[in-house]
Amino acid sequence: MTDLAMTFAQAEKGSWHIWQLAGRLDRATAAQVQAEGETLLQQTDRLAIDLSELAYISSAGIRVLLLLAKQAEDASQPFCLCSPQGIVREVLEISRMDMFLSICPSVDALEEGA
Amino acid sequence: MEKIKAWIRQIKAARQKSIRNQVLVLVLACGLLIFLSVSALSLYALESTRTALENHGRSVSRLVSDSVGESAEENAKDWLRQFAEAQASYIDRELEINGEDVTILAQTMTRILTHPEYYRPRQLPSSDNPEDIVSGISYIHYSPALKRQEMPAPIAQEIGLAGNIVDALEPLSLTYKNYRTSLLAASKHGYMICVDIIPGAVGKKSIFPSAAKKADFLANYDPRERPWYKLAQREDALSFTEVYLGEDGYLEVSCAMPYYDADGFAGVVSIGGSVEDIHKQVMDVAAGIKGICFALDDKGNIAFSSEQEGILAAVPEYLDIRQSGEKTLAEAAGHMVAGESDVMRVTVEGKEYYLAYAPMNKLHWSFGMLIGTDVVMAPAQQASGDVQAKMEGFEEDVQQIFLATAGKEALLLIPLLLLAFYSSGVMAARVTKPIRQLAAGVKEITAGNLNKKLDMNESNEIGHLAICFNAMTDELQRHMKELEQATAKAERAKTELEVAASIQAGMLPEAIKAERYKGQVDLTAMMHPAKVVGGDFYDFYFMDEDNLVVTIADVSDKGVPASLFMVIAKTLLKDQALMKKSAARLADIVAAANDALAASNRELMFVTTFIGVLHLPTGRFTYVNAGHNAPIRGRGQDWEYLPMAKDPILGVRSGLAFTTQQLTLTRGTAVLLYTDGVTEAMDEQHEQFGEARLRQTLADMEPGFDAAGMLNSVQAAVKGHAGAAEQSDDITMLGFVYHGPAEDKGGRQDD
Repeated sequence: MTDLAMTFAQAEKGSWHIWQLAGRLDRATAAQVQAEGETLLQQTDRLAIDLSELAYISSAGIRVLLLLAKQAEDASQPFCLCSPQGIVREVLEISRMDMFLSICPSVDALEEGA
Repeated sequence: MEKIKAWIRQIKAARQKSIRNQVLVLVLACGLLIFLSVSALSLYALESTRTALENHGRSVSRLVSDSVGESAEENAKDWLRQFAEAQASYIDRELEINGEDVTILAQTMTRILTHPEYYRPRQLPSSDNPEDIVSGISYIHYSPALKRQEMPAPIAQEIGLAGNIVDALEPLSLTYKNYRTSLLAASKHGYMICVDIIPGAVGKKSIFPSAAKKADFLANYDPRERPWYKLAQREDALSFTEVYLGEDGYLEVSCAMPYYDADGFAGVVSIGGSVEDIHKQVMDVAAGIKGICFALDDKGNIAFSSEQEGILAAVPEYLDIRQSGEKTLAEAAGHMVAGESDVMRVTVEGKEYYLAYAPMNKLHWSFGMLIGTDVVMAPAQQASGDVQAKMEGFEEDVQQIFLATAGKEALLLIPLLLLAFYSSGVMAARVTKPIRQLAAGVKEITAGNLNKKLDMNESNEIGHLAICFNAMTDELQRHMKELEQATAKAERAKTELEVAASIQAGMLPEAIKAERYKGQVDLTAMMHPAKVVGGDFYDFYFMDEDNLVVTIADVSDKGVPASLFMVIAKTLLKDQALMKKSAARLADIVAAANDALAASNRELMFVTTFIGVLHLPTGRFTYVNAGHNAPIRGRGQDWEYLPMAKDPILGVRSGLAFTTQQLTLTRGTAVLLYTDGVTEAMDEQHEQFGEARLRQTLADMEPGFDAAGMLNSVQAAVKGHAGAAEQSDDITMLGFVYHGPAEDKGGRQDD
């Protein structure tokens, strides 16, 4: 089911697989993002989610990110959120998401190695 | 009677619109159309045939009459000509015979006179005998001149000798017994040996028609004066006279020839015939042919004719027909006199005739026959008339057939119409019966009887439709059942939700009545869930006499899962708070609650929380903000947000540490705790209400507001901003106004 509120883009950078989310991550798109993300976690070694094009995130979206992070942690897989912008960044800051998962300022800052 | 009623009912029913009636009308119309067109066609064919027959009949009869007329004319003309020629030659021949006989007589007479030695004198009765000479008896007549004088001896001798002619005369006369004839030899001396024939009276009747005539004859008759004598004498050959009036009062024609003795011309032999006989002959012929016959002499005068009156009648006076006023007749007469033989059309006294003429050579006469063209054409007319009559009869028959057929057709129309009406009614009913069955069945189903199965044995589209309908009904039944179950389930769920909502509502404390803590704090709180049950909560309770705990929290997501989590979170926080019972230990309280929440949280639900403790006597406000929106405080028009949250959201990870913060409220300061349902309330353009607008709303409040008023203002502003947009998140607010302790212990400035 295509959802106009959210579009995806895939990219590679080094050993990291970059998954770009663009649009709104809320109740409507959460399920789709969760399913896609779980698949990508299984398919890749290192998954980074590029939030530079994400305009909005709701608590349901946060929950999805937390779930993906937990799955990655259980699988000892590197997982990172990259370059949140605007209110998305604010929300992540207020909820102190940095305490639960890695947040990188940009894709370029992704570290290679373990 | 019943049938008529049924008909009337049917007609009434036909007014209704239905497929049955449509089919009925259609079939009826088709049938009528076919019948009418066939009828029209046959009538047209009949009419055309009749007209053709009429025309043909006319032309045939015309053709027949024309050709018959033509051939009739031709035949008639041929026949006329031949007949005229026959008659002319017959008459001619008759006269020729006369001529031959006369020649024999003359020769005999000549021989007698030139060879007296062969003959003995003969004695003949005299015409002046007292007893009349009768027909067929030879006699001698002395002319008056001879009688007056003394009979010279040689003449007497000659008379005696001449008497031998009777041996030729009498046998010859026998061949004339049918005609009024005089056979004679007339001497130049004035005596005449004669035998008269009166037809039918040979030996009986006197030759004298009357005594007067006899007297006259005896007294006056001198043969030498007679025209035939003079003619033969003059011509010195066989001659035919013109028609002259005979002694017996009849018109005569004579054939005369001179005879000779030793000295030369001795006399004239003559056979004279009454023209009456020829006339009778002519009359017979005329009667036979139903026409007019006449003989024209060489002067153009009609010698004798079958007509008693008119132009073609024989008149005593000499009348040359060639000068006649009737031009065609005059012309024909000319040809006749010229001795021609032909057939011509003439008009006499307005009537048209065919005139056939042929010459009679001996007399130089012409024989003419007139037959009316109508008579000639009569057979043709007859034939034409017959043909016409036959054709007309035929036409009449055709007309009869035509009318009879048309009549029969019209008559046939009525029963046919009835039949058509009846049969189309039957057919319509039959065709529409399954449709009506179907309609009835469907009606029953729609009335609610979903168990009704359409039982149709048709194998056509109707049957198929019935099968589909049954399948649909089954599906419908199943769906209805499922719907009932789902509805029941939803009802139950709704009921349960409503119960949950009321439980939830019951869990959230009501506002603190202002009177209860008059002078210290005035507090109001509200929670409007976006769904039936919400994920936000607020809480307030007294830790102890002086410390009021206020809490506001936002569980991730909305709905039943969030509300369950909300209940747990709320309970845990309150438990911990009431257990530890110290504002200083607020961080521990929150940490303990967080640990408990994170312990069994597989779904990774979380909650943002702001929890604060207000020390009523001093106005000191100790708080922990775990990822929640910073509350706003202010007085009058002076409002500002508390610093941003520093602590993480609860329930995600255990073993986290939290930080407490503090500030002191002055008297009259109001504080508003809210969830993001307030600041993120969107209008139809997706524009959020926002922190700035919230602050402005609060700053715009009239002085002297209480907590309830504050909440109402904000709520109104949010509603006004959202407009028609749906409430997308729970809207929760807790507001209080700190008035300070009952005894005024003096307020301090904020930290």
